Amino acid sequence: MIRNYVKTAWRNLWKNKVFSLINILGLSLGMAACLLILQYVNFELSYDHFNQNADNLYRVVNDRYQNGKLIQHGTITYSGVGKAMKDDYPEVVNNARVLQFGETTVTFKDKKIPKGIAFCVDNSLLSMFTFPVVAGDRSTPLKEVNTAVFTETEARRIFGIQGDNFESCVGQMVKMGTDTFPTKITAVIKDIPKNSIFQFDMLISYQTLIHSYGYTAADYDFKDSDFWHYIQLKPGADYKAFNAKMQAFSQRHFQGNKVSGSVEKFYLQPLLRIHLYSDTEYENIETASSNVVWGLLIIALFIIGIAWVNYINLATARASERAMEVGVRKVTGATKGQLIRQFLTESFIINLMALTIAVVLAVLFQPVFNTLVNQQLTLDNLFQKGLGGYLISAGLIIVVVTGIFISGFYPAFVLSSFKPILVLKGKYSSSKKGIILRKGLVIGQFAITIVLIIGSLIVYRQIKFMSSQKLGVNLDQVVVINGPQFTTPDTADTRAKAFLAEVKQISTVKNAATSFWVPGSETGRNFDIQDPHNPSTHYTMRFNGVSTEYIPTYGMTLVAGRNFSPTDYVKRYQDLHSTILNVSATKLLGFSSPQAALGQIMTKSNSKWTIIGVVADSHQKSLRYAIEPTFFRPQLSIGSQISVKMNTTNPTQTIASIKAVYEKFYPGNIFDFAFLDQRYNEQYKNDALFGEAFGIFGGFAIFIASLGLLGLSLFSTLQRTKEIGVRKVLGASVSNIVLLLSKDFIKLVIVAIVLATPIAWYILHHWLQDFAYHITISWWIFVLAGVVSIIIALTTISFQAIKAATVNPVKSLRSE
Amino acid sequence: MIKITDLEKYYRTEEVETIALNKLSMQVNTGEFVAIMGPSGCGKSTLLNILGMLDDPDGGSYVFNGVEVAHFNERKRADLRKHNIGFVFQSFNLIAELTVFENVELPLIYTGVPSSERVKRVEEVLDKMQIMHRRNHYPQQLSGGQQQRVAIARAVVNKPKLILADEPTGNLDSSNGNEVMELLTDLNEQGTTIIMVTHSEHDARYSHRIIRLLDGQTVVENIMI
Ligand SMILES: Nc1ncnc2c1ncn2[C@@H]1O[C@H](COP(=O)(O)OP(=O)(O)OP(=O)(O)O)[C@@H](O)[C@H]1O
Ligand SMILES: [Mg+2]
Repeated sequence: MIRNYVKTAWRNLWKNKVFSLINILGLSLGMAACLLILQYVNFELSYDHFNQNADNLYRVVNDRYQNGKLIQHGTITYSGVGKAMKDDYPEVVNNARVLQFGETTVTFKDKKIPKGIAFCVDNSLLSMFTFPVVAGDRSTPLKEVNTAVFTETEARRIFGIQGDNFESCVGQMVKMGTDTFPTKITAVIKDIPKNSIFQFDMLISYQTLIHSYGYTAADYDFKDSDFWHYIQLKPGADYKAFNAKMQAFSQRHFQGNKVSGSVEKFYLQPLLRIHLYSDTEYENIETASSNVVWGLLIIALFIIGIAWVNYINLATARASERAMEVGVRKVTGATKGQLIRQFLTESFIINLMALTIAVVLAVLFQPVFNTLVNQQLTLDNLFQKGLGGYLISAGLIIVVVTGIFISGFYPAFVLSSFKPILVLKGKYSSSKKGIILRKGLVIGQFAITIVLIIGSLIVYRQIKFMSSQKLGVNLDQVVVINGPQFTTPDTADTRAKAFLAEVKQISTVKNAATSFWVPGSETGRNFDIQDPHNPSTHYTMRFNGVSTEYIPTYGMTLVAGRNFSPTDYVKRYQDLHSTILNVSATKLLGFSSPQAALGQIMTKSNSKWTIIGVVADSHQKSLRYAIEPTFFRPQLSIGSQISVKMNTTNPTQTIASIKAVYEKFYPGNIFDFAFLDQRYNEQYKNDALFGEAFGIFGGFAIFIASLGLLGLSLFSTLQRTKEIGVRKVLGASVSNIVLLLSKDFIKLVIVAIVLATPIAWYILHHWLQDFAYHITISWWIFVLAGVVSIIIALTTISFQAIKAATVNPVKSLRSE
Repeated sequence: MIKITDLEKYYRTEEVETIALNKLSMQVNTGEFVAIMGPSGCGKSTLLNILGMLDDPDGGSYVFNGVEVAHFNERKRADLRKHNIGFVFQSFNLIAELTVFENVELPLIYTGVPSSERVKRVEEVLDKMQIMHRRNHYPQQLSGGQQQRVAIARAVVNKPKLILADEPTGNLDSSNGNEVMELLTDLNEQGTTIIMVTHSEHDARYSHRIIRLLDGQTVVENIMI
């Protein structure tokens, strides 16, 4: 029986080549897009699931309030918080402190090997997270001061280990960064899985920070909020209930704003939400946007849905064509069940062929897709443990099977329920319900498509808006060089000055400056600025320590007063007394104008600063974030970033000259540079991905929906061939006929536009609210999207319509 | 009104070339009622389609009202056709999605007659064909005879000078067939030229003249008195 089903199904597909082609093409494109997107989605959703304790691990989030206003929404908090939680609450079974060291050069036997990423962590982190030790001390490798753990890859890189003999490096001594003391390698751990929020090459013991660096605030302190904390709760403990206790915790340890100058609010963020749902500041781990992930997942389902709808629509539209076949089969004894199986076999064969082609397409387009999402994905990622175990993988299989079933079952059901007598008498006509369903589905397809068109237009415009907006700082031709790690600290400021002076000697260099942070990175905050008129009120400001040339190098505008002069720079931090504010800062302090602020005193943690100048507001971070009140201090520091403004047509050569100067002043350091405008725009990476994904997969959706429309119009013109002939005989012109054939479809598209507009507006309005500076959604975007979709639909339909309209009517009338 | 000389028409399919009309010559005068007869496949419908400018000949000349139209392009032919010629087919060719009224109205829409004028003219002709009471029905709801009357109404609503009818009674029983023939005779008496293809000697007797075709050529012409 199956053989008979397959044989007839195959013949039918072959007989209706055009329709089969439309179906298979649409389905395979849809499935390929779906496979690619689902790899990505599954990968993003799989973050940190490899940790055996994943369900009980949390990160401490610390919101800080001043005068009732949220001034910091941070992942950094006080070093005492973790232990205090553990002491206060029995459900806390473990805690670990984390500080990020960033790229660290490792010196082994006088060889300097740069670029290893290091974190400084408590030993407890290794028992909380699943980072298995493969060699060395398995339980307390990071307990002692001056110890470190390498990943397998880092151990290979530093010690040149071949094979798996990692034991050989346990006990070796290295020097980290600028350290003068040696660090002992106590263990080697497995490489960190790609789907870990922590990405590092080595871990350094937290005790080193406290004892060797003398960083006492890192130990048990409630004043400096510069540390990241992870907490493990008892299995089954409810973190929401725990969060509810945090107000009392804050009161107990911080007594309102008495201890830290701000009201502290704590709560736990589940580990499994960190990767996708972190809108927090001072992030030191891998985050991605949940909007992109869920948005893409929805788009993927829509695309495959559109392809299945095509199948349903074409199959039922053509039902009348097959009515005769069904009638004959029924009369000769086929049962309804047999007919349903027959049509399901057809749908199954089509889907199977499409799936095969889709897998081939997905493999072919994998590299392109990987570049788009900036990942190294393969089809394996589809079956990776992630959200809810294997929920996504199982979901994928369920969706495919149901899709095949529904898209096959509905037409099968429609076709098999024809009454044979009526059909054989030729009295078959499409049922009203079927036509309404078909119209509804077409409207749905186009509504989705139009939402995607509108979405990509708006996302594109927002990104364009952000990258074309005046930042208040000019990043053109600015290269940023990492400050040196290795140099003698006592000569830091004289050396930095001499270095800058010599860089400026290069003819194609316009200016050079150092600063703690450059535009595009997160600057520090100071929480203890007094209100000049009301000293008991405290404010928070951003700050940056800059050299004299910082303001001119970035072309910032002084609106009052003067820039720093060399005499403002003194060796001892305690002796510094001049500051430059931005306009927002003068407003925060209640000065009526920038002029009015000049010469006034700003008091900060009992030190007094004279305001010598005011600069116009500029964007430090992306336009997603509002500009914050900021003050600048005249400070040179050896680790500061170096910004060089060039005026050159040959940047390579200029950079080579800068490199020569750098190496002369800071021998033994790695010259690592980046073009600042590029680095700044990397802040829009996620948004750009969102936009591109909308655009590309929106294009897919449009194409597949158009295929369906092509099929339907092909069918309806076929069905109306005779009518077209009659009308032509009666004097209808080609344009009369094209209009006649297009009218019905265009009506559907217009309904789709009407439906799609508010939906698109709602989604994108919501999306734009994430940006402190954003475009307003203008009406013409909706008009444009509407016009574009009508043009696409019209072009698709008119292929068929024009062909039908120009056919000689004698031909179509002869077929009687 | 119509003068054709050495008219030729070939159909080429992959295997064979059929000569549908073989140097056919004939003439029809204004006001005549001509019947065309002949065995199946002899080229009657082909001839009618060419006369109706639905198809173009492969050779020879076709003069319509003193104008040579054999070389006319599609557009010019369509224009000439919609103002001068009405068609009646064996299979009625009514549009199923349109009502009786709308079917009859179509030619007026395509010739750009204003809407109020259309209503008047359609009602007039439906009245004459005695199917006014069915104006809002769909073709499927009518009998064959009624459907053919609607088709004739549609053919004459534009007041054409020439009506081409291809086996107009072929799908009808004899009483309905006679009704249709009488309608055509009436129209002819009011001045419309009629060329009708038929297989029925009985129907042919309504005409003034019978042209008999064989293999695309005229064999005999009988004049009826
Ligand atoms: N489109 C076509 N392609 C190929 N051959 C055709 C075509 N139309 C007509 N013919 C052939 O041309 C010849 C004349 O056909 P035509 O339809 O004019 O015959 P007819 O006299 O109207 O026949 P009947 O009385 O059966 O309607 C026939 O042999 C027919 O097979
Ligand atoms: Mg014929």
